[in-house]
Amino acid sequence: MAKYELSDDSVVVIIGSGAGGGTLANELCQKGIKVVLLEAGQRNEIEDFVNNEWEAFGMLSWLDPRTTSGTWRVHQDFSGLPAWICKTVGGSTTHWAGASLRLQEHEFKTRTVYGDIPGTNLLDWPITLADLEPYYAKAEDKMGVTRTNGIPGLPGNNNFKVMEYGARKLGYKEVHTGRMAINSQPRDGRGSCQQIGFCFAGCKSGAKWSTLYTEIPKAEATGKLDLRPGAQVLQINHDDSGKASGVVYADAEGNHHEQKARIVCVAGNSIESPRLLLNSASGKYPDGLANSSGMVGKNYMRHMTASVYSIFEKPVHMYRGTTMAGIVQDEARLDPGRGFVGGYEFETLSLGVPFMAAFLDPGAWGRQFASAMDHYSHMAGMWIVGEDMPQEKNGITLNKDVKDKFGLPVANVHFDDHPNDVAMRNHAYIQGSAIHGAAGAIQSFHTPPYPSTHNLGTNRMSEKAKDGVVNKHGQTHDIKNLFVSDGSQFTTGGAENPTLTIVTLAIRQADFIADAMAKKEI
Amino acid sequence: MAIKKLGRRTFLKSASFAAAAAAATGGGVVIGPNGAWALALSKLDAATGKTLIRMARDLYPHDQFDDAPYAKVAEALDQAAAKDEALAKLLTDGAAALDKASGGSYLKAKEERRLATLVGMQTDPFFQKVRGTVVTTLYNDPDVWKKLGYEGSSAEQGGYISRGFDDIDWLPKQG
Repeated sequence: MAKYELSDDSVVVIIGSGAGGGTLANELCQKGIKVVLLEAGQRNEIEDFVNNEWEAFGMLSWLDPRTTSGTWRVHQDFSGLPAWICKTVGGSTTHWAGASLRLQEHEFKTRTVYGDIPGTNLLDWPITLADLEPYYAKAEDKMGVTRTNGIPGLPGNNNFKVMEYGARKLGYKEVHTGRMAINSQPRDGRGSCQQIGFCFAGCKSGAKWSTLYTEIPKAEATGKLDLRPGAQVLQINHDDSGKASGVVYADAEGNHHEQKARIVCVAGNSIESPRLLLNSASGKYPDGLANSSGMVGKNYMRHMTASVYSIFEKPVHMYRGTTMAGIVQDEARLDPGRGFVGGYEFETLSLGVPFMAAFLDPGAWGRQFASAMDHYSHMAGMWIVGEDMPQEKNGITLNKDVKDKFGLPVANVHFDDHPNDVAMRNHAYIQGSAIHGAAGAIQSFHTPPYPSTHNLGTNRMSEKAKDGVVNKHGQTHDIKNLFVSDGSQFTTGGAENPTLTIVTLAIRQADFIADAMAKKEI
Repeated sequence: MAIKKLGRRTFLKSASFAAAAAAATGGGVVIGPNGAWALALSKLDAATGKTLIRMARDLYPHDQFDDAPYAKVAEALDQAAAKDEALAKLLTDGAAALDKASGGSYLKAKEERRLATLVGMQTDPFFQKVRGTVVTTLYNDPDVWKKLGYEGSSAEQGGYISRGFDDIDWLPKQG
């Protein structure tokens, strides 16, 4: 592993080691570029992972203070935990479920296709599906996505079989065990899925792709990567000309350092990335870095989400096996006739008893709730994930009343559902219950959204500098050596789980950065 | 863990151990029905402990459980209270408020009365603290997992790949 001097201003500094930052780091290192990768969390390895929900949550999650506001139910139930994302080397790729779907063509041009939906800030992406297709192919190969590259699908578990039965009975056609970045057969030095369950707790077999044990060690093997865990970036500095010049971070002991940089790439997710840009305000950039549009932190999206859990007469044991290897895609189609724009997916989901108690109906108590828990082994579950509407009022702001341990304002996450989100969720609840009902469910529960796992849009990509924060390469409109490399780039969210697209954009961005460096443009 | 499951023969001996342990730290002792378990509290008194156990069961009543997993909730609250004077007061005052609102004794009140008392208090910090602790303690107890049919950690057993991840046999043939 490389070790660069703090004063070395020839390095690329990447902030965050998850799907975006971890991938970008490896892609750049493979091209011979020097990278300093700063990760706020510690390096927990596969052997540290535990099949225990609360324990794993405590080990992997970002638990630093955040606040919430708005009419979303997460604010009511989990006011200090807007998002369920990670602070550990590998970021949320340790925790993610592995679903790897391409965005659909129309989802890159929602303003054109959906029209002017009141209350939204819809915008077409400055890129098309065709632009991304070659990079999607690279990402799928890198991640070993099932049902691509000749990789077979995962076998269906009990929870999938229930969903599949009900969905087919209802007439749904696109029903299968998903496109999953989980090995169904040994590949890339990693074994195949052992149907452990606990995908969210960190994969104990390493079958699930995570930058922790794919991109990062590969980058280390090049001798170009200087990974610094426990390094929380507090501020991005710039020089007199306005270019990014380095970053100030606190190490695990709380000592502050400034790492100089030729290029800075922010990949701290859609909450921390805009917070960092806002916290980096200076005399030259009083509203925060890269914020001439005023769009840093705005247009926060979290996907329209919900879950349906149902009780059956006989046992299901939904928690056995791959958590999310099951999908019904028919409702992801473009069809405003349903009373909403955008589409949604059904994906299998299970929680263990500890999390089921916390999330099935947050705040509920009494005999009815306990009775549902008594039927835990007879439950099947599904997650619903769909496109939510970008709204300018939804977003990340600095809460100056609440400071983190470094004395910096924490992020406040504001979210109000758009009527389109609500209409979609209600449609999905009915259809999801019908799927389980067709398989014999006695009772279904409509579970409200969990703290956000898909955090998108707060540094969005736009053709014009006035509409967003970054251009089609994730390069900020305002500062040419400052990039955004995570899901906050998304112009709109699509119906699909975002990780594959984040990885795809990172691969594409690495090509752009390497080319621009070679041409001495940055 | 201070809560001990006791065989009947060892009950007296262990219960006196628990009493001695509690005497040393100033808390009460709660003995389960038939001496099945004993809970030595380090901070809270026995009356508060008993009330919290009843409240925990009333909040999440599982007729298939005995009181032992609910006693573990009281234990978790007691341990937190031992390090937090304000919490100790919240719990002690809260238990007293439950008694008052139930006509003198929460433990002696009928279920209907107890539930009405809880409904009347459900926005109080005391209620929220106890309810939250029941969720994260009761349902995080491996003994409870077994009763609910959840098998817990699986990686060390090789996952479920040959242990029934797809063993469902009651779905009709798709036709």
